[in-house]
Amino acid sequence: MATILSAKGVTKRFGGLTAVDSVDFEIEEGSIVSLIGPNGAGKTTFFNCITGYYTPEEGLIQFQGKPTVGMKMHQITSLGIARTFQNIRLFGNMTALENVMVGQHPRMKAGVIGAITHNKATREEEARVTTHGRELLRFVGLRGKENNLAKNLSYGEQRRLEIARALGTEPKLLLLDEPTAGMNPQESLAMVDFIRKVRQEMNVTILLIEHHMRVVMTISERVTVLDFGVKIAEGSPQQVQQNPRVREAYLGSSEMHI
Amino acid sequence: MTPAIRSGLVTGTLLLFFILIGIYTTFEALTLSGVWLTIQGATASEIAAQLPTATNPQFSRVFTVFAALIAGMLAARRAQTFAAQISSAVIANAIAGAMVAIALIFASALYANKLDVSFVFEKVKAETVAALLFEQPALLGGALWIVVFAAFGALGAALLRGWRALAVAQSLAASTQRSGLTANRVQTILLALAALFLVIAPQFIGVYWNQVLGSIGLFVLLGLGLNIVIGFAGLLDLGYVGFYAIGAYTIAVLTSPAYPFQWGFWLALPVAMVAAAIAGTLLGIPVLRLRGDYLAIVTLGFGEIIRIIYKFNPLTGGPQGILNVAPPTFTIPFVNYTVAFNSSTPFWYLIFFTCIVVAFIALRLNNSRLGRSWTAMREDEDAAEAMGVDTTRIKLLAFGSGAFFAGLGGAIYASRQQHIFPDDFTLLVSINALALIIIGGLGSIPGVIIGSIVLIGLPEVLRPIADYRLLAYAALLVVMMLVRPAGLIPAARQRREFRERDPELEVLESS
Repeated sequence: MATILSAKGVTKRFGGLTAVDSVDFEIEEGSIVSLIGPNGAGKTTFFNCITGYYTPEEGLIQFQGKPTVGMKMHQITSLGIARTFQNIRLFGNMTALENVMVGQHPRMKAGVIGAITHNKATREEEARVTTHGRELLRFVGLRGKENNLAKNLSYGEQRRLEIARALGTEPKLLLLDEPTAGMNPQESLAMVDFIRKVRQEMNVTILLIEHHMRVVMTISERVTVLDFGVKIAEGSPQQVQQNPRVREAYLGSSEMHI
Repeated sequence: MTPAIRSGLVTGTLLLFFILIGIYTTFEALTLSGVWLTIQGATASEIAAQLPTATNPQFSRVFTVFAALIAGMLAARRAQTFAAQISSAVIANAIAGAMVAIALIFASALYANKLDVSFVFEKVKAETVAALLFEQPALLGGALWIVVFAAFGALGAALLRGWRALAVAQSLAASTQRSGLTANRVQTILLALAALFLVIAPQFIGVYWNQVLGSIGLFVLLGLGLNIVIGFAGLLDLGYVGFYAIGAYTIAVLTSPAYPFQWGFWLALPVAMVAAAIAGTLLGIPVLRLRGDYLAIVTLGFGEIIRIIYKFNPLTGGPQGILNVAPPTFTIPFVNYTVAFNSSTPFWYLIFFTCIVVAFIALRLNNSRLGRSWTAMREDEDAAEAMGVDTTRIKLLAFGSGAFFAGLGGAIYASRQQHIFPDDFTLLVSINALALIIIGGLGSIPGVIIGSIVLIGLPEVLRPIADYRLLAYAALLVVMMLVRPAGLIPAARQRREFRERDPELEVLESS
């Protein structure tokens, strides 16, 4: 299988702190990959380097063979990388449907003139985007909630709406930042099934940051471990689980709690 | 019961304050015929010549009744049951009435002992005290104050109850499709009537009110433009008046005989608008990274810079400004009738037409892909960018299109006034425009219109109460923001935001 995203020697510093330290990383197209590590290991910073929120000082990131370092966030999104946020960041005072429609922004064309004249192309585009937005909401199980304000949805619904919004951008690579944070074990397992369904039906590659080890071990095909910004292990879930350096990073000893 | 007592003490203190600063004394000099003459545009000396100077208690009594009604509403607004609403209004107002009564009885006792209170409190004359005590013996008058104030407070509480019930009934009606349609039809008819009135009325209402209507219209234009920047895109821009100034100065330089160009109005108008839009976009670039209050301070500085450049630049006339700005000329085709723009009436039609066009454009912009991304950016800029929205581009578009309409307003303003001075473009204009869109309802287009009528029109209507009009006006703004924080006509989105935070309404709806 082809490599959809590759990173070589990516380094991001904040003043004297090296948050991400020459990390090499690759994702196979169609796979589900997890990025784990203790708090402050640089996982979210690495995410932000991929999505263009931060520009790494050194290193090369290629998406489908195209270098993306130095591109703006919205340009990278248009290329086909979408993300969700660790602390849900929906447009709270917009409806669920409007949130997904904003997600479809990079796949639309209407500009100022179209908005004012409301011409045929614009009307057709709006109709198409509305229909597709409803389909996406149905796909994530938010049917009937189209006109609810995002902030009034339940926590789990907000998580799924964030994924629907990201799917609106028609991504090839979907980055999920702790999708099961704050969920109980049942809800987490439901989310695991849901992520698998997303991969299968929407044809996307998935990279996730996760803290719940049970989730990581069930869902991932490959796992990468970061600690203090350095990649300390990589491989299948079983390989990573047995790696002594990983055990040490997590517990300071050789016992790993699962 | 503590809130009721507190509310009563506040009302009582306010009333005493009003009495001391002499609102009642002013009201006593007011008569209905005097107000009517003012509305027709008579000057103070003309009115004085026509009317005898007798004191007249009718307006001060109306003021007392209004104060009692509002105090009753405010005291009752937190209570849940009808009985509790009535009783807290009665208690609060009886306390307020008692405070005033005690003060009045005390004052009249001092006067009875030949002590002149007005030596200290200038506005509390013997006649004023007597009038306030309903021309009754002091004790009876004081008792009347308590009874009257409490009774009207109870009425106020009842009105509040009725008004809320009506609001609930309306929102319930709006939620069913059928009555929603009828509501729409009623709205259309009302709008058509209002438009008809605005087209016909300028022929009859005289020069003064034409001028007022025109000023309201110009502020509607300003508000509509600023509403794009603040209401839609959420960028707190306090330097907005700068673009108004650029529009005005561009048209002045291009059309005034003091300069070599001497273009016609219609040729200079698009240049003025484009110049303002370019300035808006250029000034947008350095503030792209700023948000919220920081943005407000920086744009405030820009607005002042633009004014001061005009003020100290001899090319634009310095502090003396530019005179003889050309008015538009307009010939109706086929009939060859030339409209003379020599009074405020034709300017009003120009402003009215422009407002309709700009409101239409703003509405379309808001209900589009661009409007959606503006809202998204207002909610969460990073998340919007992560969803593929080019926030740099849409920010500059918001600044540019807002400035474009400000330039249009400024151009019309300059040619209506026929002369402009740098001090026509102070920060106060930006603040007024901001206040009117907040009072009307942030992001709401009908709100801009209502807000500008309230904010620009009301001070004119309040002219009969002379010195107190700005006080009354400021008090109204404070009360408005406390009672309707979402604005007079909130945008649909804002209405949802606030409605869902109002648990009381939800309880009422579910019952």
